[in-house]
Amino acid sequence: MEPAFPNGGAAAPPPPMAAEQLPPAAAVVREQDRLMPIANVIRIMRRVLPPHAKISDDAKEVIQECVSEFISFVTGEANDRCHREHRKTVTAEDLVWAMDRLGFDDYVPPLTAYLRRMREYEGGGSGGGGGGGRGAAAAPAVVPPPPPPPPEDAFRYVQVHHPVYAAPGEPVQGYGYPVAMSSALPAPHVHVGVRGGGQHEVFGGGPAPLAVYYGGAPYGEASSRGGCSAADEGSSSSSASPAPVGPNYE
Amino acid sequence: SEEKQQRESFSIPKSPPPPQTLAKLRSQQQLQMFWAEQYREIEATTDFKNHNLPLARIKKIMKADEDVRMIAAEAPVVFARACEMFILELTHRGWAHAEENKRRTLQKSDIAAAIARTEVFDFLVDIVPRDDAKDADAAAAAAAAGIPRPAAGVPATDPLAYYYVPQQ
Repeated sequence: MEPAFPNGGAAAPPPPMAAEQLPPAAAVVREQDRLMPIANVIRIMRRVLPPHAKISDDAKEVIQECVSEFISFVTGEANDRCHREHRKTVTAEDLVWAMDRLGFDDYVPPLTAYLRRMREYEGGGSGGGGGGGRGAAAAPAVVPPPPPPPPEDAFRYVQVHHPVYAAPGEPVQGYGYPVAMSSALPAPHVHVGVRGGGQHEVFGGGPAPLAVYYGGAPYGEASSRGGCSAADEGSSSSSASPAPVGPNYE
Repeated sequence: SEEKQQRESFSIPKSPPPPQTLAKLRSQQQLQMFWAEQYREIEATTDFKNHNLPLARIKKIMKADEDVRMIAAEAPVVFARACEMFILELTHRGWAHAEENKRRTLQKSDIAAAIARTEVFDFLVDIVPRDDAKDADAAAAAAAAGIPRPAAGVPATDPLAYYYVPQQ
């Protein structure tokens, strides 16, 4: 009777294991890069120890390890929060929140103060994106720059009607005597010329919409025409949409 | 009746609190002062450019976690300060343990004891094994109680290996 296997019943040897693919050298974190520099750690430790105190080498190494573990521990918690809130960037607020969550209550007030002071010092730099960290100070609002001046033909299809207007109780300039305007007088508005099917659009109920185009002031100081110069009005009326030309019967 | 009350109050001598309780109270007071000092330091900080720990190294350790994608510029700066406070606190607590044992050298066992005694440092138990912390605390308790300990370099099984620590 022949054996079941040609080699006398012994099972075939297993195929050779594929060599484990090592990650590229850049991805491997070296041992010394995984820890804080020992000199910096010792310098910080000495600040809280009396002058006569000595530190054993194994204590230094343990502290080094602990700091790295602390960073990883807090970063992990902060990153979990980012994942929950569908954010990709770990912010300073996330870290402070994570420390508070993990029981490092004493760290929160100093770090919040540090973050606030740092932002004040840097002139209200960019705040954390959507972090909403607990107790973290919000960055001060940045004033937007003034808009650029309008192009020359900006008011080509705009007809501006300027009634004599002044704020209540203020004299209207341009007359030989002060005229007090009642507060019931409506503010000027802007009619936009015929466009797109002959519909008129009315913008704004006051000087705000076009204030930026008049150099920041709603109306000119020495003009009874409401701040828009004669050249502006002339151009706006003359350059309005031309009248339709009828059929030539000649 | 007032005299009687006074006599009764004088007749019962007040026992002083045990030294362990006093030490604990003192260490709590020192920690409160420590955190107040940290806050004062931060309020007085004007230099936000130079740090006691390298930001690049902090960022590298943060990036060691594969799940971490991007890190805000402020994050390592805040972490540098947090790590500084962490080192100071751990050293402070470790030194308190060394002082309890009347030593002037901060040892690994002191750090282990500080970790074992503090609840928020539970995440560090893998770095410092529990045995080290237990040994450190047992040694501290024995020293406080005046229990003899084995002489250096002599096996503990030797019956003549014990000597009494003179009370200072």
